[in-house]
Amino acid sequence: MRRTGSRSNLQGMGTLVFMLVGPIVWTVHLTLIYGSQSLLCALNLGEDRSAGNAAIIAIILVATAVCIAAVGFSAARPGFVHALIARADLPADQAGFIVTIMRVLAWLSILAMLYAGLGAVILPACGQLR
Amino acid sequence: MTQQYPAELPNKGPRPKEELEELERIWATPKGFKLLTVVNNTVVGTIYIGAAFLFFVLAGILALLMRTQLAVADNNFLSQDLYNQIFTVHGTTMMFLFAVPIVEALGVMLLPQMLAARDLPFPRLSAFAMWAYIIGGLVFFSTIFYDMAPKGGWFMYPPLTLTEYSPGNNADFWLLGIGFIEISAIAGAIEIIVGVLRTRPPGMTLAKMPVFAWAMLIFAAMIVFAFPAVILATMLLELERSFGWPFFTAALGGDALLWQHLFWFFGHPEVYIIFLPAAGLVSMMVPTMAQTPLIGYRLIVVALIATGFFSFGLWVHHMFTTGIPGLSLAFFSAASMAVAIPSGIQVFSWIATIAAGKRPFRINVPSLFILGFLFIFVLGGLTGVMVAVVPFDFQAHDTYFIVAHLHYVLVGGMVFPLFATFYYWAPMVSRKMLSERLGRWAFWLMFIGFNTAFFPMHITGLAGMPRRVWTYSGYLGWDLLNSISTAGAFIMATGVLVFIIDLIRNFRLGGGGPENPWNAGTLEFLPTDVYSTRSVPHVTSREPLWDQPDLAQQVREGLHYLPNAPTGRRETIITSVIEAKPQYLMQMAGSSWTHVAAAVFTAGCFLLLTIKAVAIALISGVLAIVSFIVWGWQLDRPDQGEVDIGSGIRLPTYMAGPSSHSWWAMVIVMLVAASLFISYIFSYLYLWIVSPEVWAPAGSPALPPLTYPVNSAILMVFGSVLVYWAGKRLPAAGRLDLPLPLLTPAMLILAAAFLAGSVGVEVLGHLRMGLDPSANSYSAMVYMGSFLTGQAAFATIILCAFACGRLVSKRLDQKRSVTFDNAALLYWYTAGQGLCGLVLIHGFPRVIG
Amino acid sequence: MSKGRLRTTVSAGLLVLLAGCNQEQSTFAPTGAEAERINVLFWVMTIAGGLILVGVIVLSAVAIRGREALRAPLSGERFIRGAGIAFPAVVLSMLLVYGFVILGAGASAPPSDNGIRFAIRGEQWWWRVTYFDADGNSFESANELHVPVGQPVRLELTTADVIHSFWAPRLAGKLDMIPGRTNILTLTATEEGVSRGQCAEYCGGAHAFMSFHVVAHTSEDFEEWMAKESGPAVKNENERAERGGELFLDAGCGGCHTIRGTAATGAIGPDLTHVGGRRSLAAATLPNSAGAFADWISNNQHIKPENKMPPYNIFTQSQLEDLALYLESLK
Repeated sequence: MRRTGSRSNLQGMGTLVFMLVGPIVWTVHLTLIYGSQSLLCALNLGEDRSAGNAAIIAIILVATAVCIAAVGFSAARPGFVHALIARADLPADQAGFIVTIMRVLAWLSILAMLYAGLGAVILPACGQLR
Repeated sequence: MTQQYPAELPNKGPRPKEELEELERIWATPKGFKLLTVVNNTVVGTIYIGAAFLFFVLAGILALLMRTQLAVADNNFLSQDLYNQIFTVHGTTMMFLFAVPIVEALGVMLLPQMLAARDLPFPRLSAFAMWAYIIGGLVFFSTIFYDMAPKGGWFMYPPLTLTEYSPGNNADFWLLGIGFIEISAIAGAIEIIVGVLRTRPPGMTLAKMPVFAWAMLIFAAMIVFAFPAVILATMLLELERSFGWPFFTAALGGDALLWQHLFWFFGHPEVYIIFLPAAGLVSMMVPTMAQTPLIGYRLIVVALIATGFFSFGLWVHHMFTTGIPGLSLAFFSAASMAVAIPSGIQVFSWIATIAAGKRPFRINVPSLFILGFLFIFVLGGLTGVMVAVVPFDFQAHDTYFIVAHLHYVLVGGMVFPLFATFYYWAPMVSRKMLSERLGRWAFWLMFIGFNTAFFPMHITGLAGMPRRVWTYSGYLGWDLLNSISTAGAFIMATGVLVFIIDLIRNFRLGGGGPENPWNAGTLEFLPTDVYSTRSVPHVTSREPLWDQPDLAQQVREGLHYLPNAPTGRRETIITSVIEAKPQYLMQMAGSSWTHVAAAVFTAGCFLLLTIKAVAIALISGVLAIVSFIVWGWQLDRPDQGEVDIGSGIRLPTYMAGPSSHSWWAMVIVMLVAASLFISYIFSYLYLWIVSPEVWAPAGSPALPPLTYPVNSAILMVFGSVLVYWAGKRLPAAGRLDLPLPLLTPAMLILAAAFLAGSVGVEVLGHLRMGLDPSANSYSAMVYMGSFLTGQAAFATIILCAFACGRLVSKRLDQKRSVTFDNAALLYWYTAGQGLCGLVLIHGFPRVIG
Repeated sequence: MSKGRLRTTVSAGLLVLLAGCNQEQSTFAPTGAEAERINVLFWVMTIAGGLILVGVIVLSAVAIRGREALRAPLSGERFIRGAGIAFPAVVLSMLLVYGFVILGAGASAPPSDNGIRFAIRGEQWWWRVTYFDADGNSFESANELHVPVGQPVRLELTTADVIHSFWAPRLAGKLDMIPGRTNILTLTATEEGVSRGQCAEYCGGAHAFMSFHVVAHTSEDFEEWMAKESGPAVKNENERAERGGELFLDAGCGGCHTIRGTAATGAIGPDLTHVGGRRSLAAATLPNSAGAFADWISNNQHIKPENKMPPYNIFTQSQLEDLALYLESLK
């Protein structure tokens, strides 16, 4: 960038994104599990139900595990993840606030992802259940 | 914590008298007829709130008509057709013309005061949004008087709203009227995001921001991502109604559920879009009433953000009975549970704050409304959790149980805090406070009336009464419950009437009212005038007025930042996003007719299109574009050199690139466009899943040969490179003797032509293959992609032409480059979107084929 | 048992509020397997929710007016973390699992083994009901669904026009009828008797008048009913009714309506073969009587505005009576 002062504002944008890591991964998680389940159920109709169903459940559980691990890692190593996203250190006097927000959001997102993944443990993959 | 209160105040007193006079002159509110041109946030905010409140009263009157009709069984007070129109207009008006606008209005009104900014960063944009909304809203609402109102419900489900089942213009009024109110909502959202992130006072870091500013930031961000889905939905439905592009007709490969997905992807976040700012207001008022800082500030911020996100994962819970697989429903049931936790956090934070407060806890009108809100909202939240449990929703869905639930959440969650807000913040703009006595009457009537009206509906619904029925048989025995509800509705309306009487008796616009009557801790209770605060305070805590007892006096005497108008025009301090360090002084636009004309002609264009007066509509559209161009031409004023704002801080008065407020606004515009396009990609893939049989290559004409998309792509890439080169060849500031001075504008024109050509080539390719947009959902989706890219290209081309005009007239150079930056950003965005579209349209069928 | 008794007591209290409320369309009086499960779920949630609401009110009252010692534990972040995060997380987790289990229970009903299928098609603003027996023979009826008690029955829900929603509250939750799709709802009636249902998705104009009855019979009665209902219309000996039958054909009613065993074979409106034996007219808008038939034929746009049948004012009063007598006699 050719202008001065631009770095701090782009880093600011990065810090905002960093705070939102948990919910952003939650968004990805929901898109993944709902998208793949809907798609595979639509395509799987009339084919061998049991194998296809097992595959869908497996996808959901793996996606849930991976996403939870990713968010858990971010909550455990905030400095590293911030550097990755914002290409800068956390602003020293704001670090406490920013990391707290990021961590609590991360835990809430993990809970939300657990809730969604729980469905795959209890329910069949494609049945209308009516 | 490490932030230190400046050892000395930023500026020395006493300030020269002329400074104040100059500020008053610069920020003066236009008088008389010219009041229409006003942009000052307190005046615009007051008109905006007034208009939204008017719609609240009007839609409330419709509710009373409906309750009268339903008071007894087999009633004929309203006809079936009129009732269907009335419930549609009631819902639409409350959601689109009252709830969202009044929250934006409160943002316009309160944010600059809370942030001690002179005004929001794009004052004309908020005034434009307001006028567009008032004109569009009034025309939309008036259709109820001519039997022309839509009658498909506020959710407008196709196929009921397709021409076959809804002939006439009624449904079009909804689509175009609302489509354009959506646009004004987005305009407001851009304003609010940039305002909260960049116009905070020095020292107000993210951690010190008032909760309302957090809430508004999230509110606006949600609008950016939620509204494009419904904008796309309204476009698709209008295209199907007008030109027969079958997006929703099952026989031609469309699907009625596509509308529901798009509508509720907007519609559910919408509920939280309405609720979050209200919760933010409560989080501002509770600490004042308790006279203690908010307990759990960080948790509340977390709750607001989490609600903002999770609310996007709930939309299918409006579709639990459509027959989609149970596990899909489970995902959304899970998210509906998860979103309850942030609400719990907020409720218990407020209780904790009250418990921690000074004794006795003050019971006055605002706190009564807050306590009423707490009760109603908790009850509504609990029934919300109930309907989030899928099997229960199978019974409750579309019954009066839901009517009860949604009114508990919306009236409880939003209207009660709003009335608290009216009483609490009225002294900020009124010379007199509202009456404590009338206010208590209003509260008790509203509270008792509300619960009498809506609590029985839980039972009515489970006793079997569906929603949206204009009458019911006496034999079913729902009379008593319905009569009670009707009585409650009238009691509640009496409460609103008492409030209106209070307004008439006591609300007098103008300064000089009691200063900080509640002893609040936040900046909006600093002494203000037309220019907002005399000087911009250095903020060191969340409740500056409590922690710095002399602050009001210092600010009034101009001892803080920017006690004057160094550029001789309207201006405000722009600070950095996280730490709120002063970065530059923004020169702001003042009163003008341009945005008023733009609003009138935009509204005219949409509304004339609705009644199919295409020729006049196009003229109106052209006039609107001209108004926008004149408006834009007056902006981007040249650098005025560095100025001193106090404490020896010298700020530039011009900024381009990623630090400029304009760059941030453009990024948000791009996010809006991107969410629109992502909604489109979703729709394309969704319809493919539903109807793969109409997809090329099997069910439709073959795709054009690859030369078409490749040429289209080459044009866009070349255009983008040209724009980049043009950016390298901007004239140096103050130097006019560049070799070949017309080369740069010529490059821009050529780039614009390439963009138009690229869209043209793409459309031509499909036409050549004989693809007819009305043949099936696939063909309609193919052309829809070009339609969206064409729309973005149209805006880009106008911006490029505009930049050329600025170049040729020597208003654009390497330093003063905001106009060019905006055009370039939008160009690259459009090219990127176009390329994604080409990959989808030409790649996807080849992959599956 | 005691939980059941508590529920009965609370229900009784509610019934006072429902004073005069007819229970024919009420979820509070379930007579089907799914509706029973959901009713239990409702009471569990309502009681738990009620307790939570009372808890919040008490805490608020303590926060506002409580003594210092009572308020102290409420006034910190620890309280928010406990009451606002931990407590809801625990309660919601339990509720979520319970909800999933009830949802999963919807899949457990095995299809009935007698091979009977039911197709219900929503049309603006009535219900076309088609019965298929084990041999694939089918016959049509309207606005009334007859099912055997104790056997899961499969309903194939479709629509002819806009979205409707099939809702028989005492038997099960609702399921939408969506263009281009067939939704399957499995119902199991647990008690004999008649209940009422209604369209639950706004479907335009006369949405309020789109209701139906569900009649649950014992298996033997159901088979008897099927045998009778699948047959042609009964011949009538009454002279006036006979004249009415001729009038029906001469006036062209057969262009839209079918009466099996006669020349009337229209498929636009409801099948009237056994219309006199149904519990109501015009999708549970009118009671079934000769007077109601006459009223409907001449005055239907007033009774049920916008319905697709034009009003017929071409008949004299005595012709109208004949026609009504004929239709009423089609038991």
